[in-house]
Amino acid sequence: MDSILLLQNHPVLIQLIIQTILFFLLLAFIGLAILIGIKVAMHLYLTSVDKRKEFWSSHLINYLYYRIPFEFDKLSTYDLIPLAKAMGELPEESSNHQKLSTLIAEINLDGHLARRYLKSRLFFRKIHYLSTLAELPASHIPNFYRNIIESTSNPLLIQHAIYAYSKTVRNAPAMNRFILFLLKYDTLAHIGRAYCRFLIYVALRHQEERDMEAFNQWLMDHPPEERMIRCVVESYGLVRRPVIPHLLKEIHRRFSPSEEIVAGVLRSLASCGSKECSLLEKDTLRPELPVRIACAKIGLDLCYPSFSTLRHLIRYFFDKNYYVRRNIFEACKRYHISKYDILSAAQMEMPDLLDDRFFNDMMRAYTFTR
Amino acid sequence: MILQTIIHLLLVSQFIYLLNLIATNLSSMFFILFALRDMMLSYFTERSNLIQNYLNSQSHLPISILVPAYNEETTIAQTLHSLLNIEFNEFEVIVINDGSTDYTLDRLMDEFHLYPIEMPRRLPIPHKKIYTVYHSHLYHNLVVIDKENGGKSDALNAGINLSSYPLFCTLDADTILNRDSILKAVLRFSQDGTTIATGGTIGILNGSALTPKHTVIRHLPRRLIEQMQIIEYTRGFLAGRTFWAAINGLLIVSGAFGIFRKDIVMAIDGYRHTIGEDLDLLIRMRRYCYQENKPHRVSYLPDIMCWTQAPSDYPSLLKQRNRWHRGLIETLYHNRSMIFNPKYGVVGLVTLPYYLLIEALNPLVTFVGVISVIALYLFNLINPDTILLFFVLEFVWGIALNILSFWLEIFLESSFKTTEILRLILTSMLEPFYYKPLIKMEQLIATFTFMNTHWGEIRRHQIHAQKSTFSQKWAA
Repeated sequence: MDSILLLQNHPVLIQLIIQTILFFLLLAFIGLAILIGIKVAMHLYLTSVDKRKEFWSSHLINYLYYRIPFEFDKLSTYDLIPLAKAMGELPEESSNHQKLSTLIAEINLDGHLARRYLKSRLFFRKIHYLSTLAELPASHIPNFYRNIIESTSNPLLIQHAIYAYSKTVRNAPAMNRFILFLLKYDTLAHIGRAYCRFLIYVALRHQEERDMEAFNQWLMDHPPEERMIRCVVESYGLVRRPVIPHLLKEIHRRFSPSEEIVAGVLRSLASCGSKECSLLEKDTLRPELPVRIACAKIGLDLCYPSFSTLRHLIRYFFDKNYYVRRNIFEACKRYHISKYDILSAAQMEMPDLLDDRFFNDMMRAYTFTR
Repeated sequence: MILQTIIHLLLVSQFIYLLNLIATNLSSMFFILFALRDMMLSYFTERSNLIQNYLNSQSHLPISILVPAYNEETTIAQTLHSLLNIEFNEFEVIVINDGSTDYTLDRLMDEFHLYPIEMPRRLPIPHKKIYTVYHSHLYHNLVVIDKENGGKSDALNAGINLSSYPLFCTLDADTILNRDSILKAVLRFSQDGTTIATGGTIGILNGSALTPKHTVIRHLPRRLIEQMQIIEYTRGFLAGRTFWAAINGLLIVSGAFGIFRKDIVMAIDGYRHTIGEDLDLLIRMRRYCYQENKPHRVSYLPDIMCWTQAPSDYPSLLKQRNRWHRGLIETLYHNRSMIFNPKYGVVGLVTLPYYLLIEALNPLVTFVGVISVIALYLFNLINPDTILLFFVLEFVWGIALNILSFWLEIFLESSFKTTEILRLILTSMLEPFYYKPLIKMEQLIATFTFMNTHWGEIRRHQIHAQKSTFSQKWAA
């Protein structure tokens, strides 16, 4: 204790405190100057990028819509990022996509940006180049993205790289490789199902229908694990192309023992707007919970919201699961099915269960929702 | 002999005080530098089109937004209008009127044309009685629950029971949400399937104005107390939480804006009836995940996600800080078995000990330390120059940290004018002299009264719509 006492009255300590005070004063001002400097530099950089982006946006529009040749000679190394960002902001049309993909290959825009990424030592610069690469509507360097994903554990880098990778996929073989890679990666980094679905959607949306069919055949011949098939099925529902219902029905046939896949197929068919009354009729007989939940929710979308459809779905009002009952109730409300129709269908199909308390409570509530 | 023991105790407590001071300030400095890195990343990636493409794909997870309201008649309508205009495809807003004694429910009925609906519901998490559930004629995704008063956690439990989606977001009734906040937060859940909760930076709304489209035009608040809180929010919350999230040790997702996975919250029976319900929930969620061996992550978005009213008078501010500190101590006490327990990973070995030693005990250590310094001076055992220099050091260090953290605020939201920035720098220099001691005093009182579970009321003001021509231009 005495040593503490001695220490706190020692002139060296007092000197040390004075020096520390001066250090923090200096730190405050130097820190402030550095922060102001960084902020101003970033602001100037982003302003200049925005300005050049405007310039290239107008050139790209002329190139895409008015067939004015692209002016390669005006392109300098400073324009790589503005040009990439200008491309990323263009409307996503299939015709544009093809032309832009060719243009990116001609300029080797992705290659240049990838080199910059590799040369960067600072992490935020790496992220900047990678996020710019991910903004490109198409890319031709899948191996580069695969290497990043395999060699880093940083989630931010991985998320941007995998998104950029999904944009390189343009045909069935590339799609197969992408799915296999996702499978391998999924277990490593636990990407969420919604993001997996989104990535597959990005990979699929600009593909030719024959490529989609070929990929679907591969999926059925070499089925990956179930959760990946579910992701694919759900992403089909987002793509909404004319060939999709056909592909979904093939998957339904091939994987009918799997309740999760069947539920996913039904949801995706409904989101495509496809009318599949016979499929619904069969699936309403299935006892598995995921199928019941799905049928109750989208049954009226999947077939016509008529009295005969209601007769198939009425059992869900008496289901033992709360979510099934709630889904059918919400679905009927959405389609303005009359209370009279529900009661009639129940009387015809489930006459023994008419005194069910939950059903009666729901019917009372239904009066208010009309 | 007794005197010697007292002197020894004074010396020890003074020494602990100095150690605590150094640890607090060093950790703050480290957090600020760390946050700067994250914010630069956010600055470069926020313009990426990933978010827009994700929104367009409609592949995101749907979400229920829970807004507990107790006597919020002045702000509730504005909050809901901002909420119902967010950029998101599938969401529902559930307002829980927790037995308000003012005209909160009437205001909602008038503004949103509510009608009662008596659908039977499954209520797995217990809470006080629900009187009526209302739907809106104007918005299909608005639900209002009118229930018996039971406190914020009870209201949130009722909201969770009635919510339909796998994620839920809790919002204070005086919070104005940025249009893309939910989307950015939900993207985190999608990108990383192990995410169980996400929080974001909260901006102080005081002094700012709202455009007719319910976006915020930021101005520096007039009162010193409100300006102090701007600095405090950046220094204390933004910098620290960014760091904790990076090492996956984040424990607080503010009650003003937080998104949670419903299945995990249901598994732990929802909120516990406590005054620090946000901290308590996340710690229990993490405890559950550790016990069940579930990989999990709590992320944090450094961008301003929403705007909230900070207390604008001293009684309200002190009540709020008292409650926060009581909540912290009560939650640490409830989860004491996790502290220094290697079974709970980073949380048990780093975050909880930090909250105990640096946050919870800080007011007590400071108080005892200051008393011992004064006593040692009276016993003529300490050089007055040393005392003076120590206090100067504390203030200078505090000012340095404030100025640095203030600049983080500028990185986030650079909409302040130059004169406002200068005013805020001046304010940051005043903070260690009167604001910090005041808060410390209140926290000290809270340390001794942490068994008290009373919330205390905070006065709210109506948020003013922008009246200048600028807002009309903006709206156009």
